[in-house]
Amino acid sequence: MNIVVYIKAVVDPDKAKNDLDLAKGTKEDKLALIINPYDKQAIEAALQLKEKYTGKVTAVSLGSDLATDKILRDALSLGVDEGIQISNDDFESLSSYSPALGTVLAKAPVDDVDYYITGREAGDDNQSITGASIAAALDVDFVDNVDEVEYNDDETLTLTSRWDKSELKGTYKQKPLVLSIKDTANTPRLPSFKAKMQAKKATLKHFKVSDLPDIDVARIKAIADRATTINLAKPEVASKETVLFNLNDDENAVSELVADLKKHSIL
Amino acid sequence: MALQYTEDQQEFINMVKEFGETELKPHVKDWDEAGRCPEGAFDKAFDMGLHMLEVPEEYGGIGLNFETTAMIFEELAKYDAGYAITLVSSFVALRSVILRGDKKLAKYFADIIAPGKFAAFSLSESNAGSDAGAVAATATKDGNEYVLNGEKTFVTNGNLASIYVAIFRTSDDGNKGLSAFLVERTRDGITVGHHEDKMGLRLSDTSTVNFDNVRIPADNLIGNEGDGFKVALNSLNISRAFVATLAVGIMQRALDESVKYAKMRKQFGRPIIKFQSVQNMLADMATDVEASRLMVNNTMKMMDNDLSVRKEGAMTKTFVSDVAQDVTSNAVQIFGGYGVSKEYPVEKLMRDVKVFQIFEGTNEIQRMTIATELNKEYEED
Amino acid sequence: MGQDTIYLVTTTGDTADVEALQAVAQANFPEKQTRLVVFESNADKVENLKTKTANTVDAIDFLAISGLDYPDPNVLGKAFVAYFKNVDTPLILLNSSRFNNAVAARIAAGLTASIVTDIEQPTIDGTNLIVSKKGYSGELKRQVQLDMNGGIVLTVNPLKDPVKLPTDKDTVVQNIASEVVVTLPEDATYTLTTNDQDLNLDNAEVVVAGGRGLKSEAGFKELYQLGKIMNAAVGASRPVVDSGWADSSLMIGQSGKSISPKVYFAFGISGTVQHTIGIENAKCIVAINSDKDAPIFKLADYGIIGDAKAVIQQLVTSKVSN
Ligand SMILES: Cc1cc2nc3c(=O)[nH]c(=O)nc-3n(C[C@H](O)[C@H](O)[C@H](O)COP(=O)(O)OP(=O)(O)OC[C@H]3O[C@@H](n4cnc5c(N)ncnc54)[C@H](O)[C@@H]3O)c2cc1C
Ligand SMILES: Cc1cc2nc3c(=O)[nH]c(=O)nc-3n(C[C@H](O)[C@H](O)[C@H](O)COP(=O)(O)OP(=O)(O)OC[C@H]3O[C@@H](n4cnc5c(N)ncnc54)[C@H](O)[C@@H]3O)c2cc1C
Repeated sequence: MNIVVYIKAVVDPDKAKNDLDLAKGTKEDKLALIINPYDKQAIEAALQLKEKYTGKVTAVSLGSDLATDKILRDALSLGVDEGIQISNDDFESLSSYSPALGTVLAKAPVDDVDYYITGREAGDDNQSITGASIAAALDVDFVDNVDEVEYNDDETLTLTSRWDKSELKGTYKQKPLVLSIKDTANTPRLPSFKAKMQAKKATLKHFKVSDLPDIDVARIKAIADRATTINLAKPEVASKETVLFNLNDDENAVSELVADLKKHSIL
Repeated sequence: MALQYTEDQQEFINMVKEFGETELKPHVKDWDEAGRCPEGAFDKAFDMGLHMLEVPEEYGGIGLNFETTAMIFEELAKYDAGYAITLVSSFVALRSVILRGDKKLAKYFADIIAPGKFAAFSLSESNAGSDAGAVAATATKDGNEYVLNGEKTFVTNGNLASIYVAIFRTSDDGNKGLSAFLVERTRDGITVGHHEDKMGLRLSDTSTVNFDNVRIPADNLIGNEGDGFKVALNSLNISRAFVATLAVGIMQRALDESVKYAKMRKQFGRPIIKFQSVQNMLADMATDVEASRLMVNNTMKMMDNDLSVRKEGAMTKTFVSDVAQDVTSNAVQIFGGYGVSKEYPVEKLMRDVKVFQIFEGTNEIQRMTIATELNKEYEED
Repeated sequence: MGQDTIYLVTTTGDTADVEALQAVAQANFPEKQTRLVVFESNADKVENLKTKTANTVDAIDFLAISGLDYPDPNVLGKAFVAYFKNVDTPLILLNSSRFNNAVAARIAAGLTASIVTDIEQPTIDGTNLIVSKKGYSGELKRQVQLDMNGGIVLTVNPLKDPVKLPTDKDTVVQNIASEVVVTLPEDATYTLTTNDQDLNLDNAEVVVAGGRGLKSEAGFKELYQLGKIMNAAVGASRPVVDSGWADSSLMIGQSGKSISPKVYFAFGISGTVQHTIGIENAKCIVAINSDKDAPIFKLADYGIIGDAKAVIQQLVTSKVSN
């Protein structure tokens, strides 16, 4: 079974909030780059599929060479078999505000893929659209928000998608299939030192977008350029007056709170 | 921090940090209270390979050097030194066999622990603590076998181990009458007895192991008869350096917690870090941590270069474990009344760190070793 | 640009959902024609919606998909894509929700339209549309500029303040039979997981939620007793769910639910953005935390510094009721 898992390098949110240059990507720091937290469950799902049915997991990442090198090696140290870097050097912006991104990702040169897997969303742009655009580019079905996976003997999957107020469980026979995995679907494993050492020495495959098969770079550019981030900033927070009680030096704190809430008809 | 980590080292440290945050932090308080780790508590550590970091690749290990391994274990010890020492004791026991040069025996040993099993090193007896020469447990040759008899006390991993490196007496000749053996836990006649209920380091298992007519193949002798003392010294030299790195982890945690608390806690209208006596305590603590880490690092580098660390290892373990008492005690002091409360993290650090002055040879004995070495160095030709 | 009309796509005929979407359109694009495109398999709801929306929109198109009796996202996506295939550069709005975002993503991909999910404050600037959305799960705020010479799909957050909908439109109602081929997963079961009759996180006026500060499963479970007394739904932060103290349906935040109760109690929850993004629409936030510097106090209207368990116990014994 061949499984492709798409992973994105994002700036650690804790670092991004304190350094807008990192967040915007005008500055790059390898140590601040991490695998998109939501992609960890996608990787875990891919590894579990491989362990269930035997097969190969290829991780694909698009971005700057520095970023994709870092996170693909991180993925290898979790047990992923192969990494493919797609360099976005040719593009000013290939953001997730346009399906152009999925069009490019779908062209990653991996043969006979059974499952394409993504995380539910990226922690930096919180879009949750990439899986759908990969599926559209491949003209296959897309199962989103997968929260539970059951493995059937015929190598098909019974999947439960969970949304805000509803869920859908069904068996998907068609292949290939694109899945986006919810971050509550599984508990990602930790990297092993052995795999980590091997990952350091591993050779990654490297492509430029224009190297990919059957790709119309000019058209993709035209589509991608229709959506651009023009500003990224700290949100203004309305400072609130908090009415505080302290139980440590006021034993009536709880009843005072309740009285206050009742007075303002909150309770 | 004076040590400059390579990018690799930093990544390794981050790996254990993630491990500590997800696998240890949520449980340490409960496990400390229970006085032991539950079944399965080390599964993920084995999956990660934490028990094989320093073991050479030819024995199925990761092949990191001592220096880098120590950096990783310092980080792990910030979460819990007892958990860390459980892993350390295992590979140190293996290393003591590797150093004797019998590759076949070492490989046999490594293959047992590699998939996720523990080893232990066992020298001490109820009447042989500081005085290793007083070991009374015996190994008697009988054809192609040795027959082991006696009781070993204070064995770290005594109850967890699948294999022991144990010192037995093969002749009456004092230290020279001691021999070292590999003893598989599955041998008939081994019983694990008393589990020490310790003040600190409670995630580490310390147990008594009883040998009653235990028969092992003569091939399980490590080196030759009479090499036991050397095997023990090899093992202790390495484990001293490693327990020192664990103590640095405890101290660093004490410092981290203290600075955070001192910035947050307000008295007389100001954060207590603004008071000079608190500042002085913190400054001394930080300086002790720094000096300790550098001593450990130097000892590790010496070991990586196959230099004897008899004196330096003793100095490192003694200095670090001595200042660690002050550092953790001052952490409790800075926390005031909350310091002694189990709701806060620092009382445990103080409990955990005491034993570092005692095991791997008490600091009194270490000072004797240091003095003996000095005496030799200054001998007139 | 064919964007004199704005398309309001809904995947249910629930009137509250439709009204919320109309309100966003009215507040931000009052000069545009509005056209509702609705998938609703329940005939009663269709009739009800016709009555409720009469004269408030310019047109309603009901998509009928024969053979589909639950909203399968792949089929819906294809049906909407087919519907829009002949519309030149449409501007499409959906209410933001997990499910709608998934459908919106399929529509945008099928139409190669730009897409931004969970947006606020769309404004037109010449031939561009500028929208705001959260970045880094709310740590930052982002503005995205979208060229209106191409199609655009947006999922929109609800308005904070109500607006008045027009009442003088001549609403043209059409039923459109979609020709999309319906292929569904085998043995598909579609379930609504929230039931409006029972008290739950979506409909409760009071929510009592607990975090890691409750220390144990037993500590967390005490919230149920409090919930009963206060007629409140119980919620949880992620570590509570990850530790198995509570079901994942109770999780509030980025990976869980966004809720809008009248009052929200946070017991032993620190207040990281991934959690607080889910309680932005709570009218009143009460935080109980032993750490007076916990970030949750910055958002809270009321707070108690102290042990969460003790506070829960006192609330239970004093039988505080709603
Ligand atoms: C948690 C823990 C784990 C351990 N793990 C292991 C293990 O894995 N394997 C193992 O073999 N052992 C282990 N030990 C045993 C440890 O090595 C001994 O406790 C240590 O060597 C001291 O021996 P003792 O306890 O018998 O103390 P004693 O030797 O009785 O010493 C008591 C006191 O007298 C002092 N003293 C003794 N002789 C002299 C002297 N000549 N001059 C000056 N002062 C002296 C000591 O410094 C000490 O202060 C462990 C101990 C503990 C507490
Ligand atoms: C991709 C991603 C998605 C995420 N999605 C979500 C999400 O949807 N929802 C969510 O909740 N989290 C989410 N998180 C996790 C989030 O970042 C935080 O880790 C989490 O919200 C913290 O939960 P907590 O407040 O319960 O625990 P902590 O942050 O550990 O806080 C515990 C609090 O309890 C207080 N406390 C301790 N003891 C007591 C006591 N005795 N009495 C009172 N107070 C006490 C402490 O002071 C502290 O403030 C996500 C994280 C990632 C990376």
